[in-house]
Amino acid sequence: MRALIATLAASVTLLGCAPSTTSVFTSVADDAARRTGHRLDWRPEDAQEGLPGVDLARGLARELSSGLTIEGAVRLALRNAPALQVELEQLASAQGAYSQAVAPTNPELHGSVLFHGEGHGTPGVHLDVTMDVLSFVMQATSRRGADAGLEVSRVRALSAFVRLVAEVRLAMLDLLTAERVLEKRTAIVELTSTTADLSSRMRVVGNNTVAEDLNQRAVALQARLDGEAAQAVVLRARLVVERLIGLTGEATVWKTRGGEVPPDRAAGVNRSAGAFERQVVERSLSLDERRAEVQLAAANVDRTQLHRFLPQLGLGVAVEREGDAEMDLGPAFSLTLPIFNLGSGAVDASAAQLRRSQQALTAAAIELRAEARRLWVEAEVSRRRFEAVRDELVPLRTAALEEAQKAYNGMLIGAFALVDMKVAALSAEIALSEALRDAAAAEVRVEAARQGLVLRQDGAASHPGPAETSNPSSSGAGH
Amino acid sequence: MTPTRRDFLSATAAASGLLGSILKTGLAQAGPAPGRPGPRKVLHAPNGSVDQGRRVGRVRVFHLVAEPVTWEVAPGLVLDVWGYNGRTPGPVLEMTRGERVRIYVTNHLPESTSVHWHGMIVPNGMDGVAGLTQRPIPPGATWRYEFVVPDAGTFMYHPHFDEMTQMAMGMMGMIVVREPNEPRPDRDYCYMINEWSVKPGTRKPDPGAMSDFNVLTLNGKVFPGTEPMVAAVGERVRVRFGNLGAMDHHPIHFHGLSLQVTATDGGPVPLSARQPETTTLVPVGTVRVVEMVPSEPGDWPVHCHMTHHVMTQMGHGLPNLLGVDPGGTEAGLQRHLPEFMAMGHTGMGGMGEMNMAVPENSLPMKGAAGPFSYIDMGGMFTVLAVRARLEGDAPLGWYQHPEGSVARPATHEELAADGVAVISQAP
Ligand SMILES: [Cu+2]
Repeated sequence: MRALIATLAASVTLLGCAPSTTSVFTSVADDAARRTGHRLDWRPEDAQEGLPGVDLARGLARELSSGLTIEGAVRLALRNAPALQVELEQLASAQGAYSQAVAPTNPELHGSVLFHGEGHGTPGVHLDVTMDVLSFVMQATSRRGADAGLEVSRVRALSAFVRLVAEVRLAMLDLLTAERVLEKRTAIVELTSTTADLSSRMRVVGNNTVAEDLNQRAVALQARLDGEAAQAVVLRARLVVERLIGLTGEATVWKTRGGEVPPDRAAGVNRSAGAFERQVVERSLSLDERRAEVQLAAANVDRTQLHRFLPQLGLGVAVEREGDAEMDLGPAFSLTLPIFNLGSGAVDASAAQLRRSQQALTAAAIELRAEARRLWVEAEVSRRRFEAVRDELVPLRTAALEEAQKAYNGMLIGAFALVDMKVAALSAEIALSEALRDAAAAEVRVEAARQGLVLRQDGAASHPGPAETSNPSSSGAGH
Repeated sequence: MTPTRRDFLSATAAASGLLGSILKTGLAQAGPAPGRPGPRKVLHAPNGSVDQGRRVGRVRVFHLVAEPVTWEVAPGLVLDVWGYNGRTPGPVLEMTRGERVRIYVTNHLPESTSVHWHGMIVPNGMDGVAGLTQRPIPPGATWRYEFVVPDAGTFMYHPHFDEMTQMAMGMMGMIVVREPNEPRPDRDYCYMINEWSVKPGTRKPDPGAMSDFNVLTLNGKVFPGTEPMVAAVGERVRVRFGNLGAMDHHPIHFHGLSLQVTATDGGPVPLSARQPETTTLVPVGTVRVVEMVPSEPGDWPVHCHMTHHVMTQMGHGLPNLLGVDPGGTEAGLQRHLPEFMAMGHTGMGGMGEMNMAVPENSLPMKGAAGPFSYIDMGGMFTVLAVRARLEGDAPLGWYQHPEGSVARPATHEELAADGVAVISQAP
């Protein structure tokens, strides 16, 4: 009896130890800050409103009016992105489920009142209170399972956070680059429309052929189409940013700030492939999730093994009083007899699940290492390409343009050939912007991997392939 | 350079010491204004050199060194060419009919060569045609030609091995043979004409060119690199032209006088066959010797009359903008090309004068400042400076025109007096 009371007391104590929603959130927020340098902001109150709060709207307006930088957009997204709040509520929900899972089963009271025949006096009463003893014995196991469940939610919330930071950065890189490309394309449009004008003026006074004039007009038109395509790329890139941040209505009137993507975003951190690979594995959120799944499966194995021989055991107190007689008191118990179902199927299944989750963890770790090396290689390759375009291609094109200007001065080439060289120089600058974007995007992916998340290459944050915009031959220069 | 050759060259310079001083003066001057009068009755190759060899016993000995040369055709354009004795054309070889000459030829070229004595009737084995009359002279070798000079006249020398490359690269020179004790004209000038294909901004003539010759030279120079000729009124002036260019004949035109062709590389033109001219055509592979007696003082142009031959490194195939109203196109292009300037809408005069940056080592459209304004011509253009008297050896400078003898704007009064109606008069 005394043992029973002690067990009850212990379970109450354990209940008191279950983490609160706030503390779970704080631990996730701390982890997020450690990984990304950004704070996580849980705002359950926004759920009722369905719209950003007043303070938030003011912050948004201020941030948007001064123009969005890459990190400004990240801050805004973390405060405002609805998708992130969805994951955080998922975490809150998981925490609730955790408390439920580690709570002991409540005592059961069975009772009966027996009325004797007419005039036979006080009715007989039978009561027994039993508790599922197994829930106490299984406390540790349940806790391990619940821990694992909560861990999965925690990891998912963190992943959503890291993903959002990375995706906003990628989207801003796309947008800033698209805007620079549009500037160059606009310059090409102005140049080629001017040479088309010159050509038509030549045509008027009989100095060039219809074919030559048609060609200049076609060159100008091609440039204009390319310019409009560049404009569309900017609009699409804005929409991605707006979706990630959660900007709607009036909030979609905004501009970027700072112009070019800062070149230091393409600067690779001094690191070796091996060190980076280790770091990615150590901090991987997906491996954390796999480990939690292993824990969950292991807890399940313990549970099924115990339940195999003792599916159910209740212990308690029975009280009986017959009429006016003294109350009788004695122990009560109930148990399920494992006669027909020995639970071996459930045990085999859970053991297989455990092995499966262990294999999945190993497979994921191997794949993660490969992914880490891929990210490292891509960052190196794209950074080298950016440096080559910046240090070699652009200076070459600039020097060639200077020489073309001198040749024009000496009447060795004409205005059309000079403009062709200028267009080629602008195309090199477009290639530079795009190479910078690719290198910076590779760095964002590397950074995300170091924060625990390997982004899928074909994910929502991926950018349009360089073939669409960087090919100088599609510039309409008419070389 | 071997000591032998240096000795040889200094001997050459001593033999024609006056040339050295004229050359130096020409190089020191920035403009093309006429230089010093120089001595009379001697052979002079403007911008060039005359080599009389040296006597060894009864033989006149010459030494030609075929070699790569760095050559300035005019300030701003230096070429890597091939020549003889450090220049292109090589020195004028001056000799006398009837004497025995021995000509050593050292080959410092990367390929074999030979020397042919164009127009001279020498023994067949001395004719210098590789393969036909001799074996080629290999690189590094020195060969000997020797013959008795058969005729007086003006001749040329050039390789007859890989002719296209070696002449396109500048391997050529003139030969002047005098009669013993012949009477000499007061002024005796000698020119070798050549043409080159040099892409603006490059240094090496293209030996494969067949039509795009854009550097047209008199004694290896284009105006304003050409040294003017000088004569006094009433002096007899002889000018010898030899053309060893690849493809083009040149109608050489003299302003301010009448001339006659007195000889070719085939010999003297009989008096009965001479006719007055102001232009003489010098076809490829020929010599034309003209004589004249200037009567009018002044700075008189002498130039090829093919207009493209008085342009240096002119661009071709450009959009024709003549008469086109540029409208807003100039400003439109300047937004993205700040140095852009609309050109050619009214013509191309004075383009060289603007001194805009052009490709390095090139002279596109370049002429030079004249006494009145910019001279748009380049290429085969020089000046015959005729003065009433030539005294001393002071630099002549530009001709000073007598008061009232230079074209000027007409006044309103003059126009009215002569009944010439003009809508407006430019300032
Ligand atoms: Cu000519």
